Amino acid sequence: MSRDWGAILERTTPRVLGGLGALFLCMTVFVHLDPGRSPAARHPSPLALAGRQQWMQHGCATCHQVYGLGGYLGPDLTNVHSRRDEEFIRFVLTNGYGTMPRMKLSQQAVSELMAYLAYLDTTGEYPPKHWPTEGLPN
Amino acid sequence: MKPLELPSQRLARPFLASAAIALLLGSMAGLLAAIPHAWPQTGVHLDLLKLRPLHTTFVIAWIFLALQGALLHFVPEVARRDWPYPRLIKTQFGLMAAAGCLALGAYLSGHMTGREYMEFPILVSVLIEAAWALFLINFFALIRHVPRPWPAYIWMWATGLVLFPLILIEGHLYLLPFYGGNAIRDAAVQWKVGGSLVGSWNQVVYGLSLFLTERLTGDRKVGSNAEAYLLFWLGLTNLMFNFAHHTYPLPQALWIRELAYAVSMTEWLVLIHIIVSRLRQSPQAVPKWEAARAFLGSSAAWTGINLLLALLISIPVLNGLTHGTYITVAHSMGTTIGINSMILWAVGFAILLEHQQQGSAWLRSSLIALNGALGVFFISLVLAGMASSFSHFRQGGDFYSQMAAARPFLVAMVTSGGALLVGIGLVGVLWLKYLFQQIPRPLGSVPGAPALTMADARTHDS
Repeated sequence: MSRDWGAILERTTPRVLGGLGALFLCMTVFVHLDPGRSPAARHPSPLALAGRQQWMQHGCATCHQVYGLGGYLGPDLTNVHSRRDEEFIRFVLTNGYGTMPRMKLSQQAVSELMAYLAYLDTTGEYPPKHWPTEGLPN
Repeated sequence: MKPLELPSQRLARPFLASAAIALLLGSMAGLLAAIPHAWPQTGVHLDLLKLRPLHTTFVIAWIFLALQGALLHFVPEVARRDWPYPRLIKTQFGLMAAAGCLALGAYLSGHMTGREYMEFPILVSVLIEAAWALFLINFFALIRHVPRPWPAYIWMWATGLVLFPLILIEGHLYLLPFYGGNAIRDAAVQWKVGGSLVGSWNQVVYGLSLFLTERLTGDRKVGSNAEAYLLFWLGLTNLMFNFAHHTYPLPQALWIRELAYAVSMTEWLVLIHIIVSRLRQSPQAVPKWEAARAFLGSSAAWTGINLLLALLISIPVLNGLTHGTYITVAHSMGTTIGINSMILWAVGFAILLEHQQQGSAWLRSSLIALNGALGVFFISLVLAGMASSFSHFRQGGDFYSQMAAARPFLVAMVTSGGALLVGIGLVGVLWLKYLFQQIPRPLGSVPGAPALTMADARTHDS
């Protein structure tokens, strides 16, 4: 007589769900506790934290990405602080550039955003040179 | 399973109506937000800060309003009894409507949180959580009457419905300094939440697909065989452990991304199963066109296409080449429209056209137009992504060079997006038309469906 695998699987479902749920909870805890592999990421300055608020308040993620996550109308800004000079970044934040409109930011807001971009630059590299794109040109 | 007509099933209608309206609003915002990608100089005339969240929030609202409506209609049929607390359903709708209006008002007045995909005020989440709590009370009070063994789709609905509110709470942890004070942790949790949230409503939607297939074929094994359970387990493990394929480039703990890679590769099993099932199917006479079957068939085709793309871009080296490009957009649009929306349209038209399965010729034409436009839209996005990636990796092009390389494909994307909006609009208008044709409809007026009172329903024998 052939087995009713559907019924067998259904009977085991509550126990398997319990096990999976426990694993999911453990994984969630690990992900939440993982500080990342960059020590610098753990210690943003108060100015950088204020810059993060400015980033959210002005909706920068609408157009820009960090680590490739965000909008598509502007460049990724993860490492813009080391790839462009500060004067240029300050100019763009103050006046806009190309299709980026002038955001009408105060000098304080510009300084805070600059600090945030400098902080992001210390957290890692994008695109990464190592796993999984080792060997790909950058 | 014979259709039933129970009083509280009518409470599905406001959800189905508002789902269609949310989709129309979200789609229009999406098209407007897409225009500057092809013609950047238009960006100054369009308020992208409002359009993008309007698009993302309201197309997601379409999914979870439609799935609520579908469950409100079909779960009583599965349980062979009516919802125990119909007043809670009315309150549930009121809370969801309030959440929607609040989100809309916030966006139009420029009050966004700046958190991608969760731009709405926190009060909106509180309202959604409250509505969901009421839904869960009703849902579990009803399904306990379904005799064991349960079909797989009940487990899919239950797990999706339970996990969604928990993950939504997790999505607000960014407000705490522990998360906001570490950009890596913040991004890791944000994308864990994003991936799992999508997985949670996918569980419900795929469960609806399984239920509808069982209903259309009349074969009760479809929802209860080993394959159904394996699909359930695959979906659940991907929901729980696969989120990190979004964040391969993040400098997080390596095991997280390696686990995600391993789990994402299990979806090859699903793709192989789809292909083998198709190959095993003996040729059949072309059935008479039926709306629910046609939309479900479209979703199956798009599932294969999107699964192949998702599997390819989950391979780490290919992910490295495509992450952050329009290929990611092709994946998200292709799955949201081609899979989730097609399934929800199938389920919705199964409800709205209960005893006139065909639907009008307009509906058939709309589906053909939708599939055609979506095909061009999807391919344009993939090609745009490949062009920008080639420009970056092969030619060392900066962002502006990458965009210039992608531009012809982005023009095709926006143009086909316009056609897509027309198709979505036509389907939405027909959906609302069939919905309003059902009102008012006294009990007992639907041929073939036994009309039951609440008391009858409890003792009705299927």
